[in-house]
Amino acid sequence: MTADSATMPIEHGPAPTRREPMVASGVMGMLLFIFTEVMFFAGLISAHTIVRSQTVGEMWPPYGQPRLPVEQTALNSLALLVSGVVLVLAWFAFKRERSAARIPLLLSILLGVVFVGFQGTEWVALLADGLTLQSSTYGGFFYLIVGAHAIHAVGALGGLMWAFHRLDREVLTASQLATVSAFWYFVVMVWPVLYWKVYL
Amino acid sequence: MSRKNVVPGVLLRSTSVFVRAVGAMVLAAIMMAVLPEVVMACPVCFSGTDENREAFLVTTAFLSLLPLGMVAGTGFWMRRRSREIDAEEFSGSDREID
Repeated sequence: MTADSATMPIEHGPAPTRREPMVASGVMGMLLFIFTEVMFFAGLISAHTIVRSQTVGEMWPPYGQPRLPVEQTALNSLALLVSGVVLVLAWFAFKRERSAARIPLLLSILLGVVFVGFQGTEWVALLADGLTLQSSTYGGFFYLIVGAHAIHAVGALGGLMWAFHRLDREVLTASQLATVSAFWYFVVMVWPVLYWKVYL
Repeated sequence: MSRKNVVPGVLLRSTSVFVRAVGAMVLAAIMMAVLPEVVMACPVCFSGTDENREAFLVTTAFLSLLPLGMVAGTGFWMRRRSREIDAEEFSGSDREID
């Protein structure tokens, strides 16, 4: 072996092409988390269904407990659903031109804040009327189920605000927006089921 | 010692362990088949009211099928997504990677 053969130049081949991942990692992780939360709410709804079916004389709400504001919550639910639709529009705007997503994303966040805020005022009124966690199983289930949804909504709104902040600085990526949007879609779509089982 | 007590003792001592074990199992199976009563204690199958029993059955089915549905739905969606990506690769289009 000569000295020349030890210093032969290495020929580099073409750079390997990077294949786009089938599902973004953030979206996959969020989907797995959403699956666990779906089962969490499914367990709560199942327990509520069984306890409600055990009431004597099918009296629900039980005697002496305040009635829930069904009509006001229906309007509030509409705000939440519109928020989900507007977020879809924000996604399509983002794919067209990133800066075009600012207004629909902000509108979606505002509608979500309206929903959570109005739910809070409802709670204050119900507490004043005597519906508490300890007043009955009816009250316990109401605050547990609706309260769990409220916590998820607040967390999802935090994610959307983080995305808006990154969009404002022009560093938001599509996978980041898809990840936080997935959680908000879950919050929006689980609410009609909860409304149907708890309020009606 | 009376004659009455001798014969069973002799019989027990003369049979093998395997035969005695089989005999005990057969006797236990006969007793289990003949002696128990139906007590209707299962809350799913024998609840007090029709509404409660129906609620148990519906929620059991719901909680059993929901995770299967989610996993199957995710699998179908990923399969469709994979095919879309393969079709785009063969068509030669460029996609941005975030």
